[in-house]
Amino acid sequence: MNEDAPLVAVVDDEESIRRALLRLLRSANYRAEAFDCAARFLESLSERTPECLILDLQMPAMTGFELQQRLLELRVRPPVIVITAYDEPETRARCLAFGAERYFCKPVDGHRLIKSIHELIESRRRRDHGGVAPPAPLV
Amino acid sequence: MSDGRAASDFSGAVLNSLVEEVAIIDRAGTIMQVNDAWTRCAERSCLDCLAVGADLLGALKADAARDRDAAAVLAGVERVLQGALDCFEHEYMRTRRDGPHWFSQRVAPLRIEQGGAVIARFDVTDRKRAEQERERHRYELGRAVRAATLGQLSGALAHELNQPLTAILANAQVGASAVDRPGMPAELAEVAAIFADIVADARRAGQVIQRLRSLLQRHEAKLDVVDLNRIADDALTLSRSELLVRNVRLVKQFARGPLAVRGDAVELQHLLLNLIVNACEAMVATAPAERTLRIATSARGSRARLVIEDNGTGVESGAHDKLFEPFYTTKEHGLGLGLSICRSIVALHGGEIAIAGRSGAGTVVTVELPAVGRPGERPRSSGTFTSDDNGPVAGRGDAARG
Repeated sequence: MNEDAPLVAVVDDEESIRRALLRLLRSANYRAEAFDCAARFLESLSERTPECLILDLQMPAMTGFELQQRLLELRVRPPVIVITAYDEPETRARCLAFGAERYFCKPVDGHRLIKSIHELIESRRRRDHGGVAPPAPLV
Repeated sequence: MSDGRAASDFSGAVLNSLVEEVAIIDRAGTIMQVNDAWTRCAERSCLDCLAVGADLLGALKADAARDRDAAAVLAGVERVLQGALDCFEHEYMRTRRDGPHWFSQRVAPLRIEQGGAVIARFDVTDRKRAEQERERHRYELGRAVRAATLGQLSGALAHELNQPLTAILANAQVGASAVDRPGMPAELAEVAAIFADIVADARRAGQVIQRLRSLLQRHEAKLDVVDLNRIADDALTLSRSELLVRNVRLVKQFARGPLAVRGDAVELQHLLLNLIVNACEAMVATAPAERTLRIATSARGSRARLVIEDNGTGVESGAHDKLFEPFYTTKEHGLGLGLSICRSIVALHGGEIAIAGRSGAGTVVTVELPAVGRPGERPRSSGTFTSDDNGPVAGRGDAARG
């Protein structure tokens, strides 16, 4: 794995989804790590900040909404892609109000997800550093 | 006056004082004597009130072929006359000049040597109508609850099925891209085809779930000017049996006159029913004599306020932040969608919903919706509340159920 590849984090309490999304991300040449709860992801921020966060909403202890709010407070703002199995117009509006950049209903199409990650990271790098765009995804 | 005459006058007076329509028939089924109530009925030309001397059994036999009630009464009367039955009771409906009437009829043997029977008939139309009304309310409440449950269930099912589908779809897409290489051997081409099929089917399953969910979700809202008092009253009518069965005392404090809001009557009624059922369920552990549901409406400037208060279990401290989150529930068998749906309905109407209370001290749900005044009319500034009812949310802590 290329150490310069963008890091993408997945926070989802469903193990099979974490495994599948890690495979998907790595197959698209991203570095990827997954967390089964929001607290563990927040702990990891002291060591590294991902360039993109894929976030589930319905999780025990701390929900995806609460994690988004915590990130706002911490001023840590990786682009957030929300994936949820419970789609309601109000949920969508709330996620976007919290700063989520994309919102997908499960089951998420892998191709669309990877395309969104690529666009968001590229856009963020250009905005922040006028930097170099990440390599185009393979999937 | 002879003793026999006096006895006859006495028994006649007793018969005439009865509100039931009473007829006495002989062993052959001929009407021997009737009371005033029966006569009044006969004078109104009621077909089922024959005069003295008429052949009741004969009339019943004539009707029995086309009238199930007449056949049942005929069989009962015959068995009583034969001494095979001590008492025959039957309820039936007859259309009289002023509309349908329900009767409860009782036939008992006349315990004299010559035999015969006493027929007593009582008009139970009011009771029957009340029963039918209760049944209708029960049915409508059941239908509303079933619709709400189905909507909630479809949400829960969509959630539970979409989770594994997400993993299936992502895994299959990775698998497909892993084997799909130029010039791959035939066996890998077959594996690629398998992955492609899995991807297509997972997508299709996701679409089916989405369509099903759309179908079972609440209908598109139609916003009209509606009276919040009327909607609350309708919801209470639908919940009447629920309140009765659960021994819940109702305290209504409605604003005077209509309280106009722009809303969807069905959605708002759904909201009210959810909150009323929630309140009732929260009072299961409250002593029956103390179970009280208070529903109040009031105009607050440009807002219409609805307050639903119970003296049930309330909610543990710290839990109130999550009460409106989907799938959060404190009920043993709850789906955790009721209050989430309530919040969606209130948001659809441009309003706010808040919950207050503390553990063991009841729950207060306050809903505020934008009020609608008639053109040129200023919004009303006060309702019927007493001075202690100007802010149930503040100071009551936190409570409620998901």
